Amino acid sequence: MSDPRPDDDRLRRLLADARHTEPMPPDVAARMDGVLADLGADRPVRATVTDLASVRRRRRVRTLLVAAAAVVVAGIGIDQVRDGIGSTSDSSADTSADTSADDAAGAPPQQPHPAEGVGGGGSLASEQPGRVGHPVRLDPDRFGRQVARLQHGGAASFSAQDHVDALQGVRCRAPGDGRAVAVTYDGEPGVLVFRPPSRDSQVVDLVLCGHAGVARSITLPAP
Amino acid sequence: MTTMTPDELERASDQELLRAHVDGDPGAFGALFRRHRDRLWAVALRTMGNREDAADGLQDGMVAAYRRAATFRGDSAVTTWLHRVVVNACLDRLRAAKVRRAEPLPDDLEEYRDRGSTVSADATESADPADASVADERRRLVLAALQQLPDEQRAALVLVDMEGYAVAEAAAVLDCAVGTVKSRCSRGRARLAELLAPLLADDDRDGDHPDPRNPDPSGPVGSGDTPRGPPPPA
Repeated sequence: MSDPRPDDDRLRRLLADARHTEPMPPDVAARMDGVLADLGADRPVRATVTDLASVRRRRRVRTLLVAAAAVVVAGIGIDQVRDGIGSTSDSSADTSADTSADDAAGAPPQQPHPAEGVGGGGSLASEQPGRVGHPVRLDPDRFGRQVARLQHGGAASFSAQDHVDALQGVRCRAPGDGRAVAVTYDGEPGVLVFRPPSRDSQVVDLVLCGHAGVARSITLPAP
Repeated sequence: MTTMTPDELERASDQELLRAHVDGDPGAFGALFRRHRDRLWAVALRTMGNREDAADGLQDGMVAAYRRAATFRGDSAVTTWLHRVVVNACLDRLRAAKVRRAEPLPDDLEEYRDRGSTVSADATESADPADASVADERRRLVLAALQQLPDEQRAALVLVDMEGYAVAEAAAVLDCAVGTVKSRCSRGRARLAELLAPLLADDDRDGDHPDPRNPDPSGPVGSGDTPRGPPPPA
C-alpha cells in the first residue's frame, strides 16, 4: 500500500459529505416488505433483470434510430391510440378487460403513442393483434417512472387471468390476479401486471414472454 | 418453532433474531432487516450508483441472507454479515452487468434535489441557497467520480470513507484481507484525486490556504479623507 497522499484527508471529507443519509424510500421499503412476504409464504420471489438489462441496453442502442423513426411516425397516431384502446384513457384500472381486448380486436392497426413509448416491431400486437392491443414500450432505464405513469391509466388493460388465456399462444404467462398491460420491455414482448393494491402500496410485475417467472418488479404507492 | 411477540422482536438482539429466523419464526428476519435497512440501502445505493439497481441489489442480498441465514457462523457481527451479503450481491450484479451508467446525475440526487436532502447537514442548514447549490454540485461531482472507479475500489471507499467502517470491519464485509481494503482505498483515492483535481484545487483556495486573489493586507490601510457619514439633519 502506498503512503497517504496530501489529498487523502480532503477526499475522505468529500466522500463523507456525499454519504447517503436518507432513509430507505417508501416504495423501496414496500418492495422489500413484499419480497419478505413472498419468502415467508414460500411464494416465488420477484426476480429482477439487471443481468438481462445489460444485454438489452446494448441492443437498445442499436435500435435507437429505428425507435426514433417510430416516434416521429407516431406523432400522428396519438388520438388513434387513445381511441383504439377503448374508453380507458384515464381510468384503465376500472376498465373491463373483455371490452379492451374486444375493442382492440376490432380496431385497425394503429401507430404507437410517442409519449408512452408505445409500439415496436415484433410486439405482442403483431403476434396477437386482436387480443392485446398495442403494447406500451418500456425502457429499462426509465422503468419505474414509466410504470408509475401507467399506474394511473392510459393503456389498454385487462385482467391478468384473461391475459394468460390470450397469450398462451406466445408462451406469455401472467400468473396471479391483477390488471395486465401489454408491453415491450427493451424490445421484448411481455405483460405488466398491476397487482391488487394493498393498504398503501401496489406491486407491479413484469413478465416477459417466453421467460419463466417475474422478470422485474416494482412497488408503487397505492393509487 | 416459537413465534416472538412484536415486543420481543423489538428487544431481541440481532443474533437472537437471526437464530429465531433459522428456527422458523416468521417475523424475525423482517424485524432484523428493517432494523438495518437504511444503512444497507445507503451502501447499496452508493455501490450501485443509481436507485433502481440499488433496489435490485439490495433485494438480491436480502433474499440471499434470508435463505442462507443458517450458514451464519457467528464469527462476525450479524450486521457485518448482512452488509457482506448485500455488498456481494451488488458486486455480483455489477460484474454481471458490466454497465457503467452515463447519466450525469445519480438518480437519488435528481429525485431529492428539490427536497434539499442531497446536501450535507451543514449545507442544508445554511441560509444561503448558493452554499447549498455549491454543496450539491460538489456531491454530484464526487458521486460521478466514484462511479468511475472499479467496483471493488468503490465498494471499499463506500464502506470506509462514506459509511465510516473501520478497515478491519470493511475487510470482514468484503471478505478480504485488511491489506486488500487498504490497497483498494488507496488506489481509489488516488484515482479520485485525479478525477476531482479541480474540486480539490477549489478546496485549496477556499479552505486551507488564503485566497491568492485576496491576500491579507500586511497592515491597516489608512485614509487621509474624512470618513463619510450620514447627511446632517436639515
